Amino acid sequence: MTVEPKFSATGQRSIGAEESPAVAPHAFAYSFRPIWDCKMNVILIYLCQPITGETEAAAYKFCSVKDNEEENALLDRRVLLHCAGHMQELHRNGQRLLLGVPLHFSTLAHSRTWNLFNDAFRGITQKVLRDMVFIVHDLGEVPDIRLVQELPKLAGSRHVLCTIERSKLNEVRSAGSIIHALGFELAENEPDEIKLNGQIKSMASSVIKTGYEPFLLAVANTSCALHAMAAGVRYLEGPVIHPMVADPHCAKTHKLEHLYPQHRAVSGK
Amino acid sequence: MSKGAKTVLIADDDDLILASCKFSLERKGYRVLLAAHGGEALAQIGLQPVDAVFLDILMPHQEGLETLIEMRRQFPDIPIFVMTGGWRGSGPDFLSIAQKFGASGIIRKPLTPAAMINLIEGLPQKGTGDSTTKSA
Repeated sequence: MTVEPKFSATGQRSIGAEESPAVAPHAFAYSFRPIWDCKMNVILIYLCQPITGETEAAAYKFCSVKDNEEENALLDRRVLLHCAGHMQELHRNGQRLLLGVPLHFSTLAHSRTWNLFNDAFRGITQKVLRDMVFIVHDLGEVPDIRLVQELPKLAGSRHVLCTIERSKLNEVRSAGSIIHALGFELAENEPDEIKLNGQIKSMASSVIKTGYEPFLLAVANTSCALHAMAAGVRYLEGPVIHPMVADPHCAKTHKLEHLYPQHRAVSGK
Repeated sequence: MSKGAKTVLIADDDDLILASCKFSLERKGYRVLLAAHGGEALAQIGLQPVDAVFLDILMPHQEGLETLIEMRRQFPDIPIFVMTGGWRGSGPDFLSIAQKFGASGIIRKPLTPAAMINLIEGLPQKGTGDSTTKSA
């Protein structure tokens, strides 16, 4: 887990807690959630996760600051700047990977919140932005046309991933070429695994049909991971896939057998 | 059922597969135990001697690969045949991983009782030390 660094993304300004007191009176810490591309057997994207001092399980969730869109936009900005700073450090050391930046849809959707975010976003260099993947969440009942309108604001980034509501699983339609992948985040305690597996299958099928890649976040057990893989889900993230990392510094090979560390203990390999 | 009948444990979340395999194997004189997921299979195998296990990979609650590792740890000598119909496209092949994890043999679904019986009949008699891996 890392504490937010003092350096800025652009080197032109320094944005710290004192500039966004509404977001965090306490110090923020960050960790990164490795996202496994199970078709390419690689972890290339690390999703930045602001840690708010809750339990580890609660950390596997997109972070929202109350129900306040402006505060969420400020949180998004802080996470963006943290990622930009980390990316600059990686580039200085000749290291390459992709950083996932979580972003509330509301930040994109209103001029007031977008201006708060864009103030930092426009200062990110093209080189840094190219290695960023935005993961847009909290879409709610947003119609597809709004995605087509708002997501191009993130042009220049490597990819945009969008989380979708499970109630909209059968309504997935094409929402623009900027989107690379669609999926959803699992709850801490999914009550009905059989029903969940059905939802994952349905989501993957709809997303693939629409021409996107399916993803699943916060996967907590191998049963769910295997069902997702069998359904065609390409990107998987969660405690059973790979633990969070404090300081990601390179892409790494990751294979199915890595989900079973106990195998090494049994086989002695 | 004969006194020396072999006991076969089948773990699969598909009721129909369980019922049809049980019917076919019992007709051939085997004693058949059933489990709906890996946790149930581990509980069954801990209660009585089992001569062979057929283990599906895609099961809820506890899937087959995790179960295979645990069975191998607890019962290293029991033949375990792993089966699945899942994912034949690009990417990791569940069955090849099962072989790495110590499966005695692998079966691609659809599963036929004849294939199961071939595998069981091909098992070495207890004490011969033969441990040939077979695939259906």
